Amino acid sequence: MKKTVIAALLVMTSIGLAGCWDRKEINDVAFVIGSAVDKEKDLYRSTLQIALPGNLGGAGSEGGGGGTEGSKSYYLESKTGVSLRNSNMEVQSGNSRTLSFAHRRTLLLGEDFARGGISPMLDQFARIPQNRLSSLVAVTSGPAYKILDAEAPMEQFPSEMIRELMNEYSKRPISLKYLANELLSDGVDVSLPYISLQEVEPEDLAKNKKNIQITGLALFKGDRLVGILKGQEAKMMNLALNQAPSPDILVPGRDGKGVVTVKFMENTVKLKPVIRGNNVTMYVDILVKGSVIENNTNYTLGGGRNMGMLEDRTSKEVVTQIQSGIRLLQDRYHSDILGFGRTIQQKKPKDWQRIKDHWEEIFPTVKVVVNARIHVENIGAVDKPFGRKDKDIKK
Amino acid sequence: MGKRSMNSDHKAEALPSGKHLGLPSPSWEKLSISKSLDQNIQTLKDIFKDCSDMIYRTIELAPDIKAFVAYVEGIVLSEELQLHVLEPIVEGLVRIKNSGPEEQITEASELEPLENTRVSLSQVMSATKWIDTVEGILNSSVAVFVDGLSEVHLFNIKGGIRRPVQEPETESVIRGPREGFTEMIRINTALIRFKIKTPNLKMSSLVLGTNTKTDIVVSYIEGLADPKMVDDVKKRLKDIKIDGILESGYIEELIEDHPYSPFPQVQYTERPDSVAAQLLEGRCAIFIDGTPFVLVAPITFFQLMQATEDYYERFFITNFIRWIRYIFLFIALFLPSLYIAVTTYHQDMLPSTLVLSIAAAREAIPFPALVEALMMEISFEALREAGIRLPKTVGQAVSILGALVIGQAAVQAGIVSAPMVIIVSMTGIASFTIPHYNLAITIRLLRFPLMLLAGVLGLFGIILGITWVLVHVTQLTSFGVPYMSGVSPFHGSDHKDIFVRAPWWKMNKRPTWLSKENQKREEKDINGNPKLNKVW
Repeated sequence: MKKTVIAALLVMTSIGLAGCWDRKEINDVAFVIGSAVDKEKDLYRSTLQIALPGNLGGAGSEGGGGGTEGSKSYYLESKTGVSLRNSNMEVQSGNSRTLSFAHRRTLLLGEDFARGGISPMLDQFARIPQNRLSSLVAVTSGPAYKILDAEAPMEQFPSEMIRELMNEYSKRPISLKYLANELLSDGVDVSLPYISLQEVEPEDLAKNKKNIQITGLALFKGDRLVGILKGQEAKMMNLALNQAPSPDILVPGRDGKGVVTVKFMENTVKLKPVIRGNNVTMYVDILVKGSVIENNTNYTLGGGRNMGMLEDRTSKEVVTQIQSGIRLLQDRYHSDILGFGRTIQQKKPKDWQRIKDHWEEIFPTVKVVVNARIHVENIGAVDKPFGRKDKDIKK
Repeated sequence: MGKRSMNSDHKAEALPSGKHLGLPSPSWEKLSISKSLDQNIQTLKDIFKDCSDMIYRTIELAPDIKAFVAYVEGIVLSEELQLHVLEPIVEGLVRIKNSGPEEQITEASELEPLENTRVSLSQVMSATKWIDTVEGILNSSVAVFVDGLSEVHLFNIKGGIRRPVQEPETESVIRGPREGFTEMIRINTALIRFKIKTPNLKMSSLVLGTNTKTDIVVSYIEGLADPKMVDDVKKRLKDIKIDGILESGYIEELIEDHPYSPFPQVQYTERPDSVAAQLLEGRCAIFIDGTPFVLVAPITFFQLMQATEDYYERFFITNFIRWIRYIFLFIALFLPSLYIAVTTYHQDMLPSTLVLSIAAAREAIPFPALVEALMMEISFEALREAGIRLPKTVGQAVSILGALVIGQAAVQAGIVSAPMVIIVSMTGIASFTIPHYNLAITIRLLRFPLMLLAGVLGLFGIILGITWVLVHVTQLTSFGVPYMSGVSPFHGSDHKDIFVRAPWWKMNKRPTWLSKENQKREEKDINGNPKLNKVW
């Protein structure tokens, strides 16, 4: 009995002695919810967006709502250092609470920084488990810290807004983990969403507000940024990447007047390589189920051959746009973001073994055949163009 | 009727010490009833001196033959006393008086025995020793002494004012019988007899408590209950040496396998239908006179998670409710400690928006999460306790105070954070979903060490705590039956009534841990069997 008591006491003491060393009350932690990395000469500039729980509108605190003038729910702290970790530690030394990176929503990379190569910064993300590999990564136009401080009226934090934007932009948003995976894979190059500030109000309004928006696709070669696709090209390339959740495409009317907007409700892309010696032909098969969401031409879509012709025109539109995008990738940027190389590696491993050493040279010569099979399933609640008299409507 | 005896004799007697616990052996222990009525009256009045509830009355049975009636007021049924004891005696007396002198009886031995001729009661005893007489009188018997007879007649007419059969308050149901046990053991055993009509239902009785002489009945169904287990229960009961048994709790603590375990190893219930169901599964029930709570043994942990109504409602609903109960069992046990661990050690584990809103709520709170949680949990327990003990009219005030002061004001004053209040109330509600109060208390109690562990070691501490609880619970037994029976040791057919409740047409076996041989309780699968199926 006495022995048991002593043993129990010893165990209890060990618990008491061992415990509490990493105890951190939630109000002694500064939550980093977004960060931006830029290059300043030879130094890294790390800008951290830190949440201010006191301004979040919890009980016993004043204020609330994100992004309002005066009491923002976050603040930015920026320092430079010889490495990313070093600059983060510089921020820490000026902060009364322990920085916690576990809740970082987005990691923004400045355009200039990305052009210099992103590999060196990645090490610390994997080494310290506290850094979540689930943070989403994007490239910004201009310095990244400017985006972090932009207006995000709908969300509490700009970084949260960027995260939501990216979730909408891709079927599978690119996280740090996925980025590292793509960087290390053979036969594929990285592409990241490209974020910039856009004006949201006409210029003549007194307060000219700017908003965060995904405007393009940043193309990498290896770990370096090599170019940016913008506008419709970026949109189509996203579709070719099999990442666009439900893109719209504008199809010109039959007589060239007006447009029909087709929304791609379901789309899948399959790559199929055919290899003869060093001649590689890549078949890009796109399968789309779409629905018409706007028709401002004066052609009716109800019955007749208009429907088939619309599908043909849509398909042609998609094919030409994707083909021109891929041409840009092959000729100008030499960036294989669609993963042609990886497709060959997976489907024709023997051929890949043979050609992988000079894939760099082969890639621009790959013949790309794009096929788009588009099926418009739904034309909406009206078949005839709404708001036009029957006599104006053409069949 | 009768007259109260005002005994003024306060002479203290030196009583020799004996085997009685708490009381010395009385001097009359070995005394026999004397032939002289006067002497008997004197002895009786000596024994019951200063007992104002004793009623004495002298009746003349025949000329020169007197009878003396003594009983304790209130514990005997007064109508029966009047109708079946006093009236026949007095009537017989009139008959004797009216008869001629040649038939005069002068010797007491010539009288026909009272119990045969005059008194129409079934429970009649005669005693020659004082010790038996006294015991009989205290056990609701009416003692009749007759002049010249060295024995006393004891007519048992137990009764008096007792609570009638009412709806059990601690285990109310929506569907199911409304009757509950009372404080009278015979009513309680009768309630079971009404339900189970087989001579195999045994009611073995014994008396415990040297002063209280409490009647105990061990009930089981012969052929279903494991005889070894029944013998074990009886032996443990017989081994009890105590001066008094006032509630089933005394016995529970005295006979359980692991007195130092926080987990209850004996179930108590107020419901006859519950006891009947347990007996039919092969368990033992222990009835204790003076309490409406009947003990049931052996039990398993999962039995304490089952409510009577589980078997009366249709099985879909029952299963849903049972899962809710299990989910809330975990909430009741772990929620506060998880909250402490996650907010003080593992902020990374929460979704970002949640961690920020918790951080916002805790921004102005002066205490660490552990202190905050302990404060709130303890005040909740205090509120609960106050609510139970207070008269119902004041109870309202307590709940208003609790809700307003602790729920609202404490949050607004920035002493406690709002998430903590939510956690505590969730835990409180969760602990009330456990159908058996003794298990609910255990869970509430275990919460506190778990909270401390979580505060010291985080999730690691909680894991340590769970491990300890699991190790403890798997090695617990209740009358030799493993506490986790069905799960550990595993047995497939028992799972029809552990986490799920199979429909009645599927539950065709008794729990394997109770009856090893006689397991079948129902023709197999009545609904699935076309031969047995109804025709329509």
